[in-house]
Amino acid sequence: MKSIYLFSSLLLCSSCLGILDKEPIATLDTASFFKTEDDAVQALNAAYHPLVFSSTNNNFYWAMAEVTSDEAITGGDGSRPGITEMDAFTYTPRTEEFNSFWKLQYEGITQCNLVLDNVPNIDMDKSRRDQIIGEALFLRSYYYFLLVQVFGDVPLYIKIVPPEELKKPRTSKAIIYAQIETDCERAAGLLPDKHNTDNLGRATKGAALGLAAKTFLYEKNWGKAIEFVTKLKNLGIYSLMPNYQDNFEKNTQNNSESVWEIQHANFELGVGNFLNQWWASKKFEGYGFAEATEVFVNAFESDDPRRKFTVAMNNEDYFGVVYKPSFSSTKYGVRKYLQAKAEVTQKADGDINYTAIRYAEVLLWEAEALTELGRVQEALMPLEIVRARARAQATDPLTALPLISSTDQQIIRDAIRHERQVELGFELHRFFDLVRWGIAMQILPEFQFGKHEVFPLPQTEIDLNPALIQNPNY
Amino acid sequence: MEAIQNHTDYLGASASNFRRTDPLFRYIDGSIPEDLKNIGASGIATEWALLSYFGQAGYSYANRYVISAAVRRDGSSRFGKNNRWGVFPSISAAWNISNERFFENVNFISSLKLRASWGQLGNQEIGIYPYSSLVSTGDRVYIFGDKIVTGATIIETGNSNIRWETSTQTNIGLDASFWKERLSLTFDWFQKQTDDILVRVPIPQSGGAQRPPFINAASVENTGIELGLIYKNRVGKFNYNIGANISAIRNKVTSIADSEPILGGFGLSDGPLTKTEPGYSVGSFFLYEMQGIFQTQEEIDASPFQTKDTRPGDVKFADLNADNKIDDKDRKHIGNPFPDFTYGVNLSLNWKDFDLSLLVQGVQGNDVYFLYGNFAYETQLRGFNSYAEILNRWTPNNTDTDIPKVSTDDRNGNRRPSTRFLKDGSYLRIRNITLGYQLKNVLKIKSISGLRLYVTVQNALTFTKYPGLDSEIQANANDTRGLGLSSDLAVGIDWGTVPAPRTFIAGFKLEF
Repeated sequence: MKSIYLFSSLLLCSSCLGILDKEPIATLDTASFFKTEDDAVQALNAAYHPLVFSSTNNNFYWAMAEVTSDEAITGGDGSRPGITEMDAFTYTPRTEEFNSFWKLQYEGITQCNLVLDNVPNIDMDKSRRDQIIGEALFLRSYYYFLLVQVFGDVPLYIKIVPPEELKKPRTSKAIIYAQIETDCERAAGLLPDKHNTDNLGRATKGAALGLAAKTFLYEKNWGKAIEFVTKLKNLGIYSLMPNYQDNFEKNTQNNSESVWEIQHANFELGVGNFLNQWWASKKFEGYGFAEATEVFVNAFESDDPRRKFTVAMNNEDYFGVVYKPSFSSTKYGVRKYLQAKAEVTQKADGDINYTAIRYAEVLLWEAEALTELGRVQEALMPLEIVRARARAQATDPLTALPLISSTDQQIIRDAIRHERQVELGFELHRFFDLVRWGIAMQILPEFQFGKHEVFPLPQTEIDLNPALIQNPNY
Repeated sequence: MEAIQNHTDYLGASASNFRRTDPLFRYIDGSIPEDLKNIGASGIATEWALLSYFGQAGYSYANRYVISAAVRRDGSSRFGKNNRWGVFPSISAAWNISNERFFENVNFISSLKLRASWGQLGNQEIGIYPYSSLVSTGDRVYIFGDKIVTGATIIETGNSNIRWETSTQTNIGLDASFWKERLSLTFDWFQKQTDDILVRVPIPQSGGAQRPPFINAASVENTGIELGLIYKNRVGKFNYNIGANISAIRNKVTSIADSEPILGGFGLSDGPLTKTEPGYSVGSFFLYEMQGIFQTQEEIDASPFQTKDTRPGDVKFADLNADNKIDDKDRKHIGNPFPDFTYGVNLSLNWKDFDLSLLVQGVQGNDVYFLYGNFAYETQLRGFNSYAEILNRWTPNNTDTDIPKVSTDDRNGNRRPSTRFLKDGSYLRIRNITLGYQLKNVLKIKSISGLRLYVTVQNALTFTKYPGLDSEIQANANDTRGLGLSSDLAVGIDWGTVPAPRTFIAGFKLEF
């Protein structure tokens, strides 16, 4: 009637305890990684990936720089509503492209911080290690520069932090700029002037000096901008290519004019340039997401050869076909970063690089900074170097692009702004230039002062990090 | 004591470009690799271990009182060294009332048993190395000197502080049967408190692309009842059996580890769809509230400010915090994916050689976020394959509709996460009907003893008002950030599930 049972296995098996110690097999973790030089290089390489305009990166920086500006409108098939919104200035914190851009830059920053946190402890050749640190400092600065351009103040992280410490408020633009300047200066001391053929595309001393100069320019610290441009020029390795179009063609990349060039290749391995399809005409297997405006075409002086290297129009050659006005809703198509069909295996996987800092631009920074300091006479020289190269390619170099010799500050300021527009058309500078010069409102009809100087922080990020406060009026 | 040690080895090899494709040549050596791309090999091993000690004691008296208690101590390799062990006791008791002497004269009750139990259990199903920050190497990342290079990134953040997730369940139940077991009944009430729930909580994207770590994020309470009834009887040659069950569960978060609510369901860069915080259910929908469609500019001007581009035909959202503008503070907990109750009925009938069975199943009162509505009723993301209902969109001549006007760029944010896409997911489904006929002695073959012919319809009919393809949604991807997150934070979100097919089967069964 009664039953009682009892069993127990509370015998301790001390030798069994060891079975609970498992280390990841054939899978590296942060404890087993960062032991060798190769580990350092691998981690650094990954920090370059967010730069590319690949099909997987969802990098729509170009749309924020171009489609918003007076250079381009969006054509396209409406399959990227965010780009249409940028064109019309109707974007919101929910616009997907801002979120993907935010994520991408912080992926790069996190990867740089991983390198900067760990590589100093690796036992390896010092000069090699210094160079790796220099590259990571430069890349982190570049990503922060783009973030500040797009969003204004953003949270600054200069080392890997635990997840709970990610929830922090925005850091002011001035502090981030100061960080960029310090880091770039330090990177310049660690980086080589040039890389060998196998390492072409890695950040150089010139790239770091150039980014520092650009940052000072954005801060209107003209003296410092000139100082860093001078350092860059004193390296003695940069000069303009004789042919303007060499900067946008496959076989003349990484040339003497290239200061910081983002590499692309048609390997179908996620490192191709999607601009080749995003910007190409819909009649040319493209999306037509950026179509050149008439305003932009009219900005070129007569017989400026750069017009035809930047924009295709009626009956001109367009990568082996004859361009027709019907190729674009504006009648004009972009040429830069596009290439002939036969050159690549896939339209979305182009292999034209994007030169983010070109020596011609460095010269124009110098001219701009000198002009703002009232040293107008000195500004004429770098301006003339840029114009002279274009002039030499004109149909009639005797009449085209006349020498500018005024010493009136306002006239030269306008001339330099105009020169940036035609020299650097579609090179992802225009909208940010208009904002920086405070003239966006005059030029862009939909632009609202006090709102559109910066884009909205992504709603997703604000929800994930409640310490963030949205930009005004979004 | 029990020690489980799992070691899995995987080795794979592949080749392409075979000289012949018939089965005789389907061997690795049958290929002619002309290029490195034509051959491949892979191999990996994983290991985990679980070490458990048990103790159990029981006592039973006169088949009337039964009591037992157990305790187990589990150690798992998946936790960091200091948090490996969990102790999980349990105790249960039962009283067989019908075996009591005083019950002998109660004839219509065949059996009656009261049960009660309390117990704890641990959960460690969180991947194999959740304490480690895993590094992925060999990803193709960039070009230097026209050559591709590989890179290494952290793909997953580890957390060495995590510990066992523990559920404590209290259960009270009653089993009874009546009239010589013609009717039987089972009833249970339970309360399950799950503490230290292990979940990957989304972290700010400014932390990079790696998967967020598992954390012991919250405590959740599930309280519910379950009732099951079976009635079986026979009238002459007619046999029948009816079963019915119903269950109702309430789910509520009682506390969270972090001070911030846990967000989930990152649909289409519109922000999260769910917010998990104390007082609400896990994965509770957190949305704007759609009030209707703006019909006139005057109505827009008189309403709280939405956007400067709001026009007639756009969705009107509710100003929940009454600050006269619509912004992200105008979202609230509004619905959850948990049903009020679920139920099922099964029926089987036998008459002579015929048999018929029917299985009906249903869910009542759950909310589904019809994320696919972004494609079904809008055109910005994909301007084709919309639902036919989009023809009923708002136009100045078609104002009596709840589908806003169609636009190429959604300037008013009609697609924002709102009750516009929150749908009642209730359904009743006739899951299976089978009619069979047993042919006996028809085939005069000794070795065949029976032949049954039958027809079955699976998913025969579904009664629902849900507009999506299938209210019984399958996917619960937590977000689209490529992190492969899938969790309880985003259960009732319909990404466009492939619906369950209606299947007709006719068959015969031979018995030898």
